[in-house]
Amino acid sequence: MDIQRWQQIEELFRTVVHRPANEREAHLTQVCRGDEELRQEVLSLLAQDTAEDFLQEPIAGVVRSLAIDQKDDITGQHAGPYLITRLIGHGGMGAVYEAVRDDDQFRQQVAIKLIKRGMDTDFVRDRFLRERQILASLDHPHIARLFDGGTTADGLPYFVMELVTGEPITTYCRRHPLSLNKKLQLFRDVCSAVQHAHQKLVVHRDLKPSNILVTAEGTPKLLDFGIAKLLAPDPQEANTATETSVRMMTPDYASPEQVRGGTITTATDVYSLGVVLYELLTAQRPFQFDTYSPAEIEHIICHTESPRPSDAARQQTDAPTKLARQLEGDLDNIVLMALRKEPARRYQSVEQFSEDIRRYLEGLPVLARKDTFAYRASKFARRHKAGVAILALLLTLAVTMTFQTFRISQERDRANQAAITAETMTQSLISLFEFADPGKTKGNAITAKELLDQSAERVVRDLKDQPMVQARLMDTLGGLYQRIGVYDRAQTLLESALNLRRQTSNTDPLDVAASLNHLAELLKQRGDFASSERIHRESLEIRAKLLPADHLDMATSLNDLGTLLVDRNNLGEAEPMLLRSLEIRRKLLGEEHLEIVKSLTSLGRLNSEKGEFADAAKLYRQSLDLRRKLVGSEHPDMAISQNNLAAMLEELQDYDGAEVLYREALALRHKALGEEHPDYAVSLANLASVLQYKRQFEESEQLYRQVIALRRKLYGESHPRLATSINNLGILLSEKGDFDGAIPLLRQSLAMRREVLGENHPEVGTSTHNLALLLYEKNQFEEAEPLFRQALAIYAKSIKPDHWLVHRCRRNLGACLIKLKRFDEAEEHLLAAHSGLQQTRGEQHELTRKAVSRLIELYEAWGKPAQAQPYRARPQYQ
Amino acid sequence: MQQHLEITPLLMSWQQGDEKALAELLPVVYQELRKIADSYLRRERSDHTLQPTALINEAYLRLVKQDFPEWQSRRHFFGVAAQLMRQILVEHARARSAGKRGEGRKFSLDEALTFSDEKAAELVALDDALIALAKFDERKVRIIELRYFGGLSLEETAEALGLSITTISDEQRLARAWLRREMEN
Repeated sequence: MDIQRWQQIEELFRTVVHRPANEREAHLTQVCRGDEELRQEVLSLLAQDTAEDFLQEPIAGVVRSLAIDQKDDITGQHAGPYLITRLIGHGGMGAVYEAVRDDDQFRQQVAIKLIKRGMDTDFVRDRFLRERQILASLDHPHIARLFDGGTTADGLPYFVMELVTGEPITTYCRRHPLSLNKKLQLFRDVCSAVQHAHQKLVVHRDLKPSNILVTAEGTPKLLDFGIAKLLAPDPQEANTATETSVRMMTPDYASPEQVRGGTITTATDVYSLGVVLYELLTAQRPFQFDTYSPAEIEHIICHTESPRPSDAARQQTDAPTKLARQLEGDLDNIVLMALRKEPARRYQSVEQFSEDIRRYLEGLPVLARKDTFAYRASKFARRHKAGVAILALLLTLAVTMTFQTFRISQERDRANQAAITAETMTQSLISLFEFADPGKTKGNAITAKELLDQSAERVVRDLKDQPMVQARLMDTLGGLYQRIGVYDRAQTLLESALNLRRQTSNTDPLDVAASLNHLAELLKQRGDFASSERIHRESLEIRAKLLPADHLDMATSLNDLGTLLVDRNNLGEAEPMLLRSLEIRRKLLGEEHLEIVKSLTSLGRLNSEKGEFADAAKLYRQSLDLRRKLVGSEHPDMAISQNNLAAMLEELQDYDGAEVLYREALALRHKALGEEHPDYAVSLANLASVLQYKRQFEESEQLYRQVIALRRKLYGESHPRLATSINNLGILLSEKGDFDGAIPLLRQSLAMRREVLGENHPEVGTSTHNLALLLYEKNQFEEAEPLFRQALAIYAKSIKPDHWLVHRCRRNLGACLIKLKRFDEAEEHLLAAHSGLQQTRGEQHELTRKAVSRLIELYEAWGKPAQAQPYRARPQYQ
Repeated sequence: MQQHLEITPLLMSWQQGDEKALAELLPVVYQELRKIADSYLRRERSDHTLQPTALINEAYLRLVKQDFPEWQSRRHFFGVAAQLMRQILVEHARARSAGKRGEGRKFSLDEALTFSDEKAAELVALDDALIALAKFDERKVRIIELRYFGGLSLEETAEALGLSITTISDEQRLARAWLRREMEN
């Protein structure tokens, strides 16, 4: 069926079906205007539209038909020459049976693995055959041997293996009182099997006790290569079933790279073996999961260190301390080396792992060493720049507060209070430093958040009877949480500080105002603009009442509230506030001060929101020049000003000017921050974007790819900024005409944004819009339309109705509706989009001009060329 | 087995267009659906006419840990399960009706069906018609799958596909008419 024709039929069907039966034919004859075939088609469909309940109710009886399959127990049947005698176990897609070879005079028992009936999809079949192929390549006394393979009478593939009767290695060790050395020997046997597989380029990927059985004779046997991976440079194998199938494994033995979906190597098996050894030695697993939620699993496996095996042994009530002593030192180090997060820092091979155990058994020095202090310290500093910065900040704060103690010492009470504040601060700092010492943290990686959690807990717990001190510290800590992006905690603390200050009788109202200001700034950052505005106004009111008109805190309040009002699109009220704030700052601080830079930047933003990009650019340029004068052209903050100005030039379509500034900012950050800093990534992305405008696709694409790789490294697999880069690369590819390359990127970006930003974030809307646009470009109008509408619905909940994004989306929805021949609807959207873009972006902007050409397209397609005329007459089309 | 581990990320990757993820999901969901169906049968309750939605919902709750009650992933899950339901039932029906195609068919699929040959043939015919419809209107096929094989209400179907209830209702009406005609021919 021709899709266009089908759309025509659908349209008619929809209008006619809602009419009374006796009017249908007449109406149809009228609208079909002689297209008899169309009329007949719709009539014949209408004839089927009877009250009969065909497909009206969900299918019933599914229980029985599903369950019938359940009885496909094939015990007693044959698979080739084998008589199936008993079901041993089954997983998702296969089952393992015990069987005997019927024609065999020795009646040797074997195990048969079969694909379940109904599960023999190509995918399952491929994987099953691969397992068989992998097993065929292995020949080792500790690996269950492959004997035979074939296809059953029903066409299901099967293979025959050595029947292993035994129990999981952990159960075996629990039930048989093995000495430590015996356990280690047994484990080395397992290692030799895994090592053999590795030599055959097979990574098992699912090593766990239930796949390592020990027979009654004490021989371990490795089973189940169901999700094993061939490392062979077989191009077909390289990309199949690696990313997803690893997630099939239990998290208890999964390595960080498996949890993250990273590259699987032999080091992955080293890790899982490490977990097994840990469990054999301590009867515990290194990590405990409470909920097994993906987030918990990833966090624990990738970010926390396991307790040392000796500590784990010690914690067990019934475990002899002798064991802990045996484990302490070499065995702790051996196990932890296998369990390192970074694959490259584990043992180089299973053989090396096993060899180290041998050296331990023979009393020789082992390779494994504790992570050095230097390594841990550098890792800490690298990973937790924020944490280190906070320590420095708290230190400064403590010093300031101590200084204040002297300044206000004439008021005895306040002096005491301040002294206590300073003292508490110092104590808190000391404990923070203690906490940061790797020696005292049981190996747990410390995060900035943990540092703060620690001190916040103390502040809440220990300072109950000194509300003013408590409030001050809560206020400080709240600000620190905000800096590291832990907004929930920040808000709780700032609110508690505010409440304390409000409840305490002798509080200085200006402290309350400060609290209000901090809370309002946090709410602004969190996007709760309405509450932020209310609180900012309250703070400003207090300050205005108590402070002289020209006071720096007044300037701060006015600037903060003013920028918020810009966010809220209340530009009329924002402007005088921002100007007044600048005036106060100029008066008190002179022309050359960083606060002036801030004010100029705020005013730049105001003008940019007003759409006065030239004025905005002028202000940003002033701000840039002043900053250069104050901090020098080498200062990393210069890049912020350069970026602001460049963004404006981009708006003004001065792409060359923008490119120059972006390149300057990039060079600056490269020098100041190196190549692995988030801000360096921002600069790369900015440059990529302007080059994209300039249609220099090659360099732009290369830069985007660099940004994506860097952000993956910096933020992991899921982050709003990563989503943005992936999105932009997708757009770039689509601009190059590579739609098939673009679509998966846009989908990926959309899913990531949904996940990290929530369903109703404007960027989710934009991602949805972009995907829709691409589908539109591919002429998939049916699919594009609902996505455009979805994007609009998201915008409706997240941004102001006259934002240019909304207009752009409506314009493109309109374009889509033209293709779907729904002209009325298309017109409505296009007219709204055009006037909106005219107002927000101006007549000459590319976005507006595109809206004009869409309107022309609409009236042409609609057969109303006269209505297209006025648009054609516009200057840009003459 | 810690199956809840894989469900949510697989749903996510499938949603991102990773077809392999769907291939991974199917056996797990299939297994679970059958387990539940079996337990219903063994309970000897006369619940054999249990609606698919109850079955799928139960599978969802069992597979996806409770602390992940994202409606979004539930929505995706129903999408997968409805497709799977169709696949299982049709495969079963095809096995039953092999060699009996082209015989007279009636359209009473809603009775408690235990897969008489006749009903199996109807189901196969429906599947053929759906395959034909998918060639030019995939969305209507999704709607029928969700409504008929997944047992979702109009509202839920609208939500799952991001369309309005009116659209779903109109499209379903046309789809039914078209399918019915296709099956008669």
